[in-house]
Amino acid sequence: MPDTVTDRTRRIVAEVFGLPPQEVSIKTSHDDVENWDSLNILNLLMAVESEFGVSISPEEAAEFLSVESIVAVLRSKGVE
Amino acid sequence: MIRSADYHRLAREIEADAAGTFHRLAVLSTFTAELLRPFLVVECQQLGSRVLPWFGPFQQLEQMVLDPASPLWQQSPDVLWIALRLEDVDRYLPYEAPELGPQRTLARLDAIRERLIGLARAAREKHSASILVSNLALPSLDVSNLFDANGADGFVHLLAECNRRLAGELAAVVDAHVFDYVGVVAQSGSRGWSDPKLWYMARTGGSADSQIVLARAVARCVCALIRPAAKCIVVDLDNTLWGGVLGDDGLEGIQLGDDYPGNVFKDFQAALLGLRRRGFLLAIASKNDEATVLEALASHPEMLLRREHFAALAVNWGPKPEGLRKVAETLNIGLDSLIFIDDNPVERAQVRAELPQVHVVELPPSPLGYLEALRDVALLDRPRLLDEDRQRAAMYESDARRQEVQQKTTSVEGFLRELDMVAEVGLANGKTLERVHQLVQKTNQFNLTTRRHKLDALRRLMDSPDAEVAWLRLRDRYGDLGLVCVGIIQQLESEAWAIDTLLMSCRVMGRHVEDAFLAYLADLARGHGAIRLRGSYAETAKNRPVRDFYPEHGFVELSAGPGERTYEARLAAEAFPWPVAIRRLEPAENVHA
Repeated sequence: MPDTVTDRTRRIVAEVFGLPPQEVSIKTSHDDVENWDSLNILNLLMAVESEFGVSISPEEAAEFLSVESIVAVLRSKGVE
Repeated sequence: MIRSADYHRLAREIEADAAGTFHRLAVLSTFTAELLRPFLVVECQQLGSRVLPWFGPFQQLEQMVLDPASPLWQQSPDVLWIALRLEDVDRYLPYEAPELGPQRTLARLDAIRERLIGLARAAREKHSASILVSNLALPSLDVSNLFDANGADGFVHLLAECNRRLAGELAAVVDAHVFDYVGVVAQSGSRGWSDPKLWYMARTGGSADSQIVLARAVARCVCALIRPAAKCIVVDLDNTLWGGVLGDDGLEGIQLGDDYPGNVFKDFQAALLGLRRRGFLLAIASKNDEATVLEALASHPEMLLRREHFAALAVNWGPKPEGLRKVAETLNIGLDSLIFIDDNPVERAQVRAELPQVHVVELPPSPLGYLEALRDVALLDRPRLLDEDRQRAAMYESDARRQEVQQKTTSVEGFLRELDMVAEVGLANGKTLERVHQLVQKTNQFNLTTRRHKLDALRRLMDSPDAEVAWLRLRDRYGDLGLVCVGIIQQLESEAWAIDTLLMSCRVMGRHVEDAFLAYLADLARGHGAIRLRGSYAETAKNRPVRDFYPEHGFVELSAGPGERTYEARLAAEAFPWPVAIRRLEPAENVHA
């Protein structure tokens, strides 16, 4: 079974922040991760764009505050 | 293709590996350079160097450089990259230029250039880090049009003029170099370079892909500054320098000339010849009949590379690793200074397996890709050509003539007399410092202590009343061999001086040049009132040839520790005579400058 959008997003978050993959869940957010700051939101944006082949607008990037909200942005763009 | 997220993971793995040492790269920028971190770490690692980047606070260039206690200098970087972009400091200049006119536009560009030069000079005074300064590219979101280059005073021309002046002025700052940001953007394509969203949101160094390209280019430059370039390119012949097999196809049958596919090989030869003019030696390692090869090199009308362009030949039916060993031995250089180019993957694999020190170029199956493969060899990057680099190939050529004379002459002393050697000795000054530094950094074999003094340390020694930084330059009837010896002596006690550094280019071994240089160092010490001279030998993997240098020159052993021995000699008037076979020349202006 191929990876779901959620799994791939969790992996990206783990890689960008250097977290063990099993510690990142759908609920992981900027409240739990110390260096989830504006610089790393850019890193998330670039990583998500290259992983899913989509273009994220600045307004959408502003919602990149948890795995759940990133997945929601991706779903709204038709990524399954 | 590495995914963007992979860079984060890989960079973290590299940074977490505690073994070995890191070089430090400090970045001062007018844009959000910190996003380059994972790319820089990974790209440097791929080039074989471990580099830890540090990023100064956004747009605080002067604050970091001018304050000796700033975090920039506290971490003692190996390389400092001053990354200022036109679009961050004078964003609308291209739009204002038509109204300003060329004089006032140039004046605005001059102000930026002076700022960059001022930063480089201040950094040089404070620290020995190598300095990279980005040149100025057109703003990435600029709406220039095709006719902008039509007027001789068009903005693109003024910008190019500014960059030319920047290069000229940076050349006067020791170990400061242009980072060709203009070239990197152009090669990658200025149109896709910037991502408007990332620019407007966060003033990044470019689109996600451009940042990787930028980091890769910076990594190449950093590596070229922190490690020595290769010395010799060893090439195979059949299907590498020409198409076809000389032994089977004959002189007329090989492909080399102005038509396809011969033109592909001719261009490759031209590129190699160009590298020779930049100071790299060429050599051949080929399984062929030597007489046939020599005939082809001499008589093929389209051959650009001739016998005299090769410093060493290993043309025989033996294995390639043996040929490469022979080349290194003939040229008296280490195997790690060799680059090996061969179209045959089996030969390449054998060399990789047996001589892991040799850098093997991964040639693509099609000769159409050879030039690109050559361009990707980072060990061929050399930041600045010194006179010694330009003349190197010619020097080795005259070595071959020296060897001929040596074979004809029956006694060593007779041979040395035949050479008509003239040695000029002197103290380091601004003109000689860069070459002195180069030798201190790279000399391995004839180097008694292998102390790799940095530039600012050398300059301090040069200016100190209790130390001398001396050099010897040699020429003979076959040519100029350049500055070949460096010595540093320092006062220990009122009547004792010590040799901190004594090194010599191995090209001039066996000609009493070291005796002449020791005589000069002894004279310098005597001039300071010394009656005893101390020397030490610190063993390394490569300097065994000079292990007994001091005892052989009348020094007595004082102490022996692990890997290091200390010796002393009395500076009697007749001690350390200047050898008769060498004429001594002292420059008139033999003073610190």
